[in-house]
Amino acid sequence: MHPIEIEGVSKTYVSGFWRRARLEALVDISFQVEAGTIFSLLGPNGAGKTTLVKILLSVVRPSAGAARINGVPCSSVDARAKSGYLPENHRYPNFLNGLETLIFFGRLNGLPASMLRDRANQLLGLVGLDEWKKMKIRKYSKGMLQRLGLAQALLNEPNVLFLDEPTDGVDPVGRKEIRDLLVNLKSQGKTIFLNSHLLSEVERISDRVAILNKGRIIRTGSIPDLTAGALIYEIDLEGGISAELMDRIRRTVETAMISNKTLTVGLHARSELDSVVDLLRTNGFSIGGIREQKLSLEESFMQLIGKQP
Amino acid sequence: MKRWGIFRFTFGEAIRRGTLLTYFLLGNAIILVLLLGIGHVPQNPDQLTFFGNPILTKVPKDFDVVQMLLAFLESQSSFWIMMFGVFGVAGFMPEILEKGSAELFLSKPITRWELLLFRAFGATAGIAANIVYFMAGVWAVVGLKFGVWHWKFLASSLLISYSFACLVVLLFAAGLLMRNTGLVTMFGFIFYVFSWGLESRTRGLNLLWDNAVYHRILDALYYLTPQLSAMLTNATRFVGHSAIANPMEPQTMNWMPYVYSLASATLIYLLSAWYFYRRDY
Repeated sequence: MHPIEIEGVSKTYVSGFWRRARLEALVDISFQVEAGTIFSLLGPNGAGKTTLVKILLSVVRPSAGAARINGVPCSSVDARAKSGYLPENHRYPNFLNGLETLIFFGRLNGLPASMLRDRANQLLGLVGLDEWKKMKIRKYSKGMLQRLGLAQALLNEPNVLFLDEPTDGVDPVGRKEIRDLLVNLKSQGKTIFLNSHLLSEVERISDRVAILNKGRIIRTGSIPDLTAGALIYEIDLEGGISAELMDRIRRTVETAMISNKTLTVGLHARSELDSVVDLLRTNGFSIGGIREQKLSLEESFMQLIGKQP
Repeated sequence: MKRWGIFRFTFGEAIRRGTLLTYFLLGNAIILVLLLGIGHVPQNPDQLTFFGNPILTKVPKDFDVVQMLLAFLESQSSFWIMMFGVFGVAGFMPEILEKGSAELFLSKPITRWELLLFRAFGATAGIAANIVYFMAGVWAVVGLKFGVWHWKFLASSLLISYSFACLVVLLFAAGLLMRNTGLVTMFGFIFYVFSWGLESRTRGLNLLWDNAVYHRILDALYYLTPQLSAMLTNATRFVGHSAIANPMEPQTMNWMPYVYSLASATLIYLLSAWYFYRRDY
């Protein structure tokens, strides 16, 4: 059993007076998330990321398909008992202070009264809001609200955590703290489902990524899978290369160019790298090093989104 | 624990609202003014005075003057309580359904029917606490001043609270549909006025158009919605007849509006819960 299982989920929004206007927000989404991993859902605005998370938390009903959290259908109250959620642009009752807010949401999570205050104080300390816990939250900055939101999502010690833009509005130091916290939670065996536009952050902490565009999953995989797709290698040589040898290399691979004793080759298949190395070795070249030229997640993401019709 | 959490949160929200704090302060001011100002002429117990000036001199036959005063205070109080109450709770559903707030509430392990029901209970309790506090204050002042401990006046605070509870169900249903505090407030006031029209429809609205279908529609609206006006009129009758409030009405207490309103409020709640369950946020 996976902590998050999604099978054929679709969502069509119907609107208008005669309910004839239809918008396909999600189309036949299926995937699972392994326990104890950080899974990130990426996609441009309007791709359907938030709709998918809302379906998993039963805030939105799917038009088709099924989803389970910890093996329980997501429409069940039990599915939400062990999951935490930090929504994007969350709004808290602003007449409460930080501590009261956590106590209130703790009650909604069904935490026993005896442990509410201790748990709330512990989490406020964890997210660095201990000093401001008695201040009304209407006076909180965006970053402070984000930290409070994270504490709120952790109240019931969830084993599945859904975070929608968790570092939005947080300063660089705070972002690092949140990243470290997420990695720490992962090491405790918690499963984290992340929605974020900050691809550099996603790249640093995610184990697997799904890219969603126009309501459809266009790619899933690990970060190395997604960023290693280009098959471009840089080979450091210890001498100049002749034009004739360059021609022979070009006939072997897709692209080849030389610059400052570094040969850059683009391959059709990984096996072509062996042929290039053999050619260089038989022509007496000594090879200083071989590096795979990786795409950043952002470059990979842009390529994938750009290929979509 | 979860239900208690929603109830307690909403109760706290209700008593901290600016509108209800204003009402609370006004209530205290009225109690203080009554304490300082109300009295009677020593030689004539039927002649009440207000800061030394005679009031309520023409008491109808068979009516006790203090009872008349209490009936008057009760009818005025219930009117203003409803006004402040609508202002105070109209935003309770629209606010938790706003973007960013709905996700927080609905993603918690609590069902939507519980959220709706216990938020309505919390809102009602918040207003009821204000009502009981004010009426108990007036009751104590009148008791201390005249030695008349009219328990029915105190008990009428429960009838007003009950009437308000039925109105809350309707306001919450409107909040689910409209999701806009301003519109729900307007709806609350319009319904309040309309309920007076529906109650006395045989002498008013029915005369506008002599059509059986129109009359049936008005009858249906009267029975399908909480009979707010009828409940408040009867609360005044309960205290000491409604001779001041409406001399044309029969003076006997009628419990049926409370029964019909319970039925209509239950129906409205069930429809609201079904609608809430079906909606995406």
